Amino acid sequence: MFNYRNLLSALVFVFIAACGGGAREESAETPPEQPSQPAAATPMDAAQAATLSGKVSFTGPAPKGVRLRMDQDAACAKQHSGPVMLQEVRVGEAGGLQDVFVWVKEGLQGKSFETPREEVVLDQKACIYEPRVVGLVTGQNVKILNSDPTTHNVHPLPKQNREWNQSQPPNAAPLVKTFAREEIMIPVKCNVHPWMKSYIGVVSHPFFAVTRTDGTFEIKGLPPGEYTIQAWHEKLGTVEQKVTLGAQETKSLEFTFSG
Amino acid sequence: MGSDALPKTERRALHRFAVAAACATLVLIVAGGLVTSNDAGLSVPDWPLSYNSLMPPMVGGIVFEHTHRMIAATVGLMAVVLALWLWRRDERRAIRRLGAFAVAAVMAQAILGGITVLFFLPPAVSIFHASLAQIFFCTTVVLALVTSPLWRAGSDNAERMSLKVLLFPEGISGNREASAAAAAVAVIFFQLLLGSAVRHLGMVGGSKGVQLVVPVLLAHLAGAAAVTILVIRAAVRLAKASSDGHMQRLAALMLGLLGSQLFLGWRAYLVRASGPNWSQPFWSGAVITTAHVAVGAILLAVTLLAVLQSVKTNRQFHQDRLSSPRDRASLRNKAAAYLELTKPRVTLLVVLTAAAGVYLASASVNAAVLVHVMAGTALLSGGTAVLNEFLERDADARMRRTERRPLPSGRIDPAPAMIYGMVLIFSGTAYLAAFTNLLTAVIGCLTSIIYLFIYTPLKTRTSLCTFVGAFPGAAPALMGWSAVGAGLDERAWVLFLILFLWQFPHFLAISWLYREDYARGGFIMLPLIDNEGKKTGRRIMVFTFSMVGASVLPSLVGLAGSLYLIGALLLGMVFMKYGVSAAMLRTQISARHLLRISVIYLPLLLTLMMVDKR
Repeated sequence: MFNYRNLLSALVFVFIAACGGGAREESAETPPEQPSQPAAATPMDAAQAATLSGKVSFTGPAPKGVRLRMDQDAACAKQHSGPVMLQEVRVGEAGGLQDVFVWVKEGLQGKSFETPREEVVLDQKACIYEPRVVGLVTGQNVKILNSDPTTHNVHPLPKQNREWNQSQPPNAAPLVKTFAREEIMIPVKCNVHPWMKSYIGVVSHPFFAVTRTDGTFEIKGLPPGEYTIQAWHEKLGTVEQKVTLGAQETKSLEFTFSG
Repeated sequence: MGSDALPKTERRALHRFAVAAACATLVLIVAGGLVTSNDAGLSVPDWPLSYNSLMPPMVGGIVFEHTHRMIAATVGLMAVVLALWLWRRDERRAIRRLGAFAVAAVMAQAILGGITVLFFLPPAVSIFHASLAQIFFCTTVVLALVTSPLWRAGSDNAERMSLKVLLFPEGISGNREASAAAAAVAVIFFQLLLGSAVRHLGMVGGSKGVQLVVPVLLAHLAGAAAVTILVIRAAVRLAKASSDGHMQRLAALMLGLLGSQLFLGWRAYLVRASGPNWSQPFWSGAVITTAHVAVGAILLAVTLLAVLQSVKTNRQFHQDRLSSPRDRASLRNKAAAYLELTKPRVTLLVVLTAAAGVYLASASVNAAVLVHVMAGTALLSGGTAVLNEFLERDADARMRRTERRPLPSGRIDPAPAMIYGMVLIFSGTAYLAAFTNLLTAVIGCLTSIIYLFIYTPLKTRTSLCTFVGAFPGAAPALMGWSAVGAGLDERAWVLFLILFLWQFPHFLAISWLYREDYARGGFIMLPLIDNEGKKTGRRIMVFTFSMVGASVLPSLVGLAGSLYLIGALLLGMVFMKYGVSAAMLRTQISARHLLRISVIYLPLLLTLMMVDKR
């Protein structure tokens, strides 16, 4: 066989040299492993605050819903009188799209905001998550209830945050949890009842909303500035728009998803 | 005759118990498959207890998960009883050890099951759990076979030899039908591994639900083709080799299982391809995918039985084997031989190429990523080398250049080498999946598979093998690249292209130099079928020019700068000079020069790229 040694010694040499160079570069890079401690809130003049409102619409024929089979757990099935339908794309009056997560994606960098004290409630009722889409500020408590006479497991599937999986028997105490990092969106599953799904949006500031049954939303108290607003839907993906808000201004944004 | 120590009634009871254990294991595999198909793996968040008790409320997904745990406990208990029974009452040492191995495997399996629950179904662990399940099932099936009256009716010698094939075999190279079946067993096992990867990587889809991971799916499809060919080949050989109706029934069973499996695979694909729209797992889908898993397991077990039966009934083969003396090596020599088996120099070269990929892909090199890539690639590359030497052990024995290798020289037995190679490949893939990312693991595993199951068999069939072999040869750079987490953009592919093209002048020069030796080994390299070497010369020329042409691309796609460009052109001119003279002169000396320049050229080119990295 031929002589590998020339090749090897050359490559080893190159490598030592290259890695030496690499190591120097590396020290400059310090990826923040832990989320930074919440800084004091950036002072904001409440009199300046602007409001963003609007509506998310859906055009085209709405996809058909699917029937959920709850027969694996009688405790679930008997809470519903008829067949249970799941509408992933929920279109309300005048084409309004429900349960879209609308949030300020860009424009608030460098500012920090107080973490709200109040808890966001996520209920498990008749083996369905209520609501299906919720928003949280990083560090804010989410209180997960089990109002069902059956056992659930609560299992969020985050990519940026820590994954956990906990069981919650009937009448158990609520689970109170927080998420440390911004993440759009964290799916939450119950593996006992695999049709159960909800989505938690975790944002580093309080400027987000979930569209109501008629597709409308409102985000209040924004400081004046230029923003990128993102609308997220579980099936339809995301849409973004830029908007500039002056002091005390109220602007309306229209988002459209199509089927 | 076999053992007379055991009363006939007890022997029969022992056999029946072993059969029951094997059946229970199949039921367990079905139960495990249903857990995955119903996405119920995490419906019980605690382990080893379920909801802090032995009997949780049996609703929804808990039904699947807890039933699986209960059957698993039963099978574990059965394995312990069977092992103890064999240990106390069976005089065959190999069988007693196999019983003990079954217990160890089922324990490891339980712990893996626990890990997957407590760490939220990491795909690597789930895939390992699924693969070990197959190994355990095969173990119980073999125990059922070797305790059977049919098996024990043969001669002691025949029995000892066939068991050796299983545990520490002599190799079955002289037995055509057994080696065909053994090849099928190996490929079916790999295929089951890929199948579990399709299942478990597809299950981690986030908001979009179930997703299929395309490269894994493609590998699984390629595997299906390989399994089809090998199972048909094995079945035909088995049926032809014996007039024994039993063997022919076994061959027919293999073909029937293969057909069902292909059908189920197609149905499972249709079910899963509609996956993203699932709102919940549905029963018919779960039944199809689980049946696909179960039939795969049965096909594996039946093919393994065919290997053992065929070895046992082939008397001629045993006589040959028994009369051939073998030299035993000391422990230290053995360790050295095992190291040698991994082709350390080639492996080091592969590892460094992967490291070059890491370096070129990163803005600033992360030392941890670098170490993980190098470790994982070393395991994979070493394992691939071992299995390659295992597959080519007969050819190697005929070639002067390779006759001193550990396998042809008899310093290591083939079967432990095969197991060693598989363990290395398996742990390398798992390591890469765990410590770098899935894409890297997938590329690595695919590289091994292409090298072993496409390139290696092609070497004795067509001179086009060099073309196929150039893919795995260039892949380590891609692995390094993908491990950094940067996507495989055009810069990665340019790097791949250069390494790919470089292999041609390099290997054509080697095969020109060693063409007589290759002919002895039965390999078909271009220079062998091309006596005057005109075609070889032309090919050297074409690929040398293409490679030098490709070597300017890094400057065009922003991988390297102008310093690199100048250097690459200068180096390219030197390379072309040697390439052209090797192509025109076609002498030993000119080929040797080309080989030498090729191994100097590549590190210099990579150095330039790293120095002038953008």
